[in-house]
Amino acid sequence: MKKSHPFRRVMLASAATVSGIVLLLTLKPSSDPGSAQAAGALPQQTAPAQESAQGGASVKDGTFTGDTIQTQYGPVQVRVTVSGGKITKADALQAPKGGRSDQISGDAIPKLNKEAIASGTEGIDAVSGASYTSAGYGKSLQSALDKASAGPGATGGGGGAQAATVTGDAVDTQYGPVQVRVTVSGGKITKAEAVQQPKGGRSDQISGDAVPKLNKEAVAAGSANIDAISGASYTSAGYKKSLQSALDKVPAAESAKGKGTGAAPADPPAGSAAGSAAGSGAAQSGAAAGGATSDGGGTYTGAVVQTEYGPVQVRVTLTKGRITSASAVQAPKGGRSDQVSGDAIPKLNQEAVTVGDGDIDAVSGASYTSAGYKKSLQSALDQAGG
Amino acid sequence: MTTTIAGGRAARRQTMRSIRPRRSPAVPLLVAVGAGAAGVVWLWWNNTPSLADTTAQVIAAGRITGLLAGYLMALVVLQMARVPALERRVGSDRVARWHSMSGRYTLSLVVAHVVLIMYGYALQAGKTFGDIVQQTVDSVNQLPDMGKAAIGTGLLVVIGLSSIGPVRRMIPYDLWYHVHLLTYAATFLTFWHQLSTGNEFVVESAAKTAWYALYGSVTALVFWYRIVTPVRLNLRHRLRVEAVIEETPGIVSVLMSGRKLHRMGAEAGQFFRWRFLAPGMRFSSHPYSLSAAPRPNMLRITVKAIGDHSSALRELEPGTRVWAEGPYGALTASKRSQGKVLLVAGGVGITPMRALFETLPGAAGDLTLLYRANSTQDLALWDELSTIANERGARLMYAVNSPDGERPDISADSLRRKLPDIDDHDVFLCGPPGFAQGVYEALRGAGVPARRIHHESFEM
Repeated sequence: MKKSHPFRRVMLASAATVSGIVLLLTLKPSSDPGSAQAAGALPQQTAPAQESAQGGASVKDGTFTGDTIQTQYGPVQVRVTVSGGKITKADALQAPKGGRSDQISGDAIPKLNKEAIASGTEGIDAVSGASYTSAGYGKSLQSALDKASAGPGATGGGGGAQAATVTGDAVDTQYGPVQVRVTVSGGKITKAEAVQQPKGGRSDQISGDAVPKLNKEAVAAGSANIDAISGASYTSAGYKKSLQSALDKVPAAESAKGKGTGAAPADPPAGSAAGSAAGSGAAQSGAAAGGATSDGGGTYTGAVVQTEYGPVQVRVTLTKGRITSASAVQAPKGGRSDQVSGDAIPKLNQEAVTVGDGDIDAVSGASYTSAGYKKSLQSALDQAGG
Repeated sequence: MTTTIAGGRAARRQTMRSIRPRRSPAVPLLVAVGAGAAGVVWLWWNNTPSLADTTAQVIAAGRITGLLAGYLMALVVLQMARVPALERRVGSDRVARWHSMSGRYTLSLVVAHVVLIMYGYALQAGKTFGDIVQQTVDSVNQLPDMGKAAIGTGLLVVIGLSSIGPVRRMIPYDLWYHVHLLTYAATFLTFWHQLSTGNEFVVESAAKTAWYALYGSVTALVFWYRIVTPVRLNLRHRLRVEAVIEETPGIVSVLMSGRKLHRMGAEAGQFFRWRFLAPGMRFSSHPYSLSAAPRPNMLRITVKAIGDHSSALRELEPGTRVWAEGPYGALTASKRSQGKVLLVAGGVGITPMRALFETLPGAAGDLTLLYRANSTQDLALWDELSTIANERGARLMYAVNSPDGERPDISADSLRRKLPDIDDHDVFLCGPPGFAQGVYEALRGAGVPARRIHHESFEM
């Protein structure tokens, strides 16, 4: 029976709670490289758009509807009207709905529409508090602009701007057939869904749980190199095989993947999951590996990639399909960035040469710069491949 | 009719039991609660990739407070589910204090959650702190299950206000109690918006399952221990008032008969919550300790007439049906760790001490009872205590005010003079808060370690 000090206890509890929450908030990064899928997609979109704008007169007039992009909270689809090479009107045909999403969409979509018009065709910034919707909007907008772009300008940057929807082979698993359909646009998987999946009894639950996750994974990975969902290993393996077969069917002309397929081994006939994963050649990096093998050498300059701290641009020299030299034409500058770049860029150059393709690791402490470097390097390799 | 009840078989059986101290599960429980809270925070951490700006930070703070409030809400209800492990091992008084503290804390979290989230949403919509009311109205109208949540939150605020010290003293106990029962409604109403609008639950189906499991098991425990268990107990034992006896001016004993009362599982030192099914009394239940170890056909409580309820006990007619819930309380023989025991009673606090004095295992000379009262007339149950002391070879002492009103000296020195080996004793203490506090300090001064002073206090 200790003496109770109610006031002291109240003060202690409040202080502990407030400082605990403040600590948690400060420990969270202000923007996370890990979520680049969502937020980072935006700057990425700007590169080809810029190119097509700079390339001049390559954007057709008319009204174009972008792909439907699935976000965490629901689908987003954008329609733009282009006139005189500029966006004159933008609206969202689909936006996340229900509950809090109504409020957020109602608030963010008008802003995004305005931004799209103001930016011309150069891409948009995320609206605060609506990062997922913004990312989806950015992607859909980009796909609409890709459709508006005629010919070389866009194809050069993104490695094939047209969307193609392909259905993979039906793969029989222990619990029933799995068949995957993917939409590939700009060398990336923009949508994945299961046309067939195990049904009946417990399978309904498992499929209902695992397939959306696998779809998400496929979009995130951009390739068939996805992880199995725990508790649904057969479905996951079937999904992977069918996804691989779908990616293999993507016509060479329409996707960067096409170039990768040329070099990648033929689809392993009903091979092991590991086999097909290894042979997959990610839609993106497969292009580089494949392209580089078929091509000789030369020097290529990648696209300018905007990072949080400034632009990054990489130039590579290829000899017999391998990177023999890499350097940064642009890197984040000013203040702390000088130090970080001065430290990270030589390492990244070294890594690019050592690895020989675009598949480099991020340098610790320079995650944004590393991500930008990787993207620019990839675009240089894409040029070499094309 | 004499007030003394003869020693029963159950009492003798208890006396024979050897000393087996049981540790209170309080520490492991608190650790588990902390781990759960860490898990809840992790849920937020795991689902939040980054915080772009102040708006995101305000909303994140709102989410953390909301998640913790949702978690603690379930525990606040659980604490009042009368789970035997809590009532009999941790102790009803301690659990009630936990409930009161965590209830206040949870309500503060709820209020912080509402303000932070609505401020964050207002910022998100490009508005300022001044628009928070409008934002709240919009959110209640537009978001799923928010209407229910708003009503539930309102109820929680009313319940919180009714429990603030001065307000609670102003309103009758029954009113306060019934307002408090609205907590169940408030918990139910606020539950759904957590799942339908809570980011962590929309995104993570495992979190949703965990939340259902948490609230589901609390509901099951409340249903079982607050409804099923008392119904079974009362159907089996069928208690009725046998007699009401005035022990001293202002202190009455109520004797109750019933079937197989030794099977109720009650031990000396424990209490039941009693509801006498007489006009004006059936809607409130009150905790009173057993003032004698339970006999197969007889239970006895001894009550000081201080409140409306305890005064009304005097008027109880023999034959009145009694609804009992219990037994509760951890102040039993299982607390002791030493051979020697000192019981200290202040006023009507003698009731559990009287039962323990009769049944605590111990050889002659091991037991001492110190009984403090205002005067020798106020020493209720004194004849019984003397009989027990004689039979068991126990020491019985009393301390009363001197004729000129001077208070007796209960200090570290006086205790050590009376009991030179006092630091070898377990001490059981029961009495009014001020008295208990004073004796506690004197005991500590006399060298009794805190873990050997066993005490129950229902003061919040």
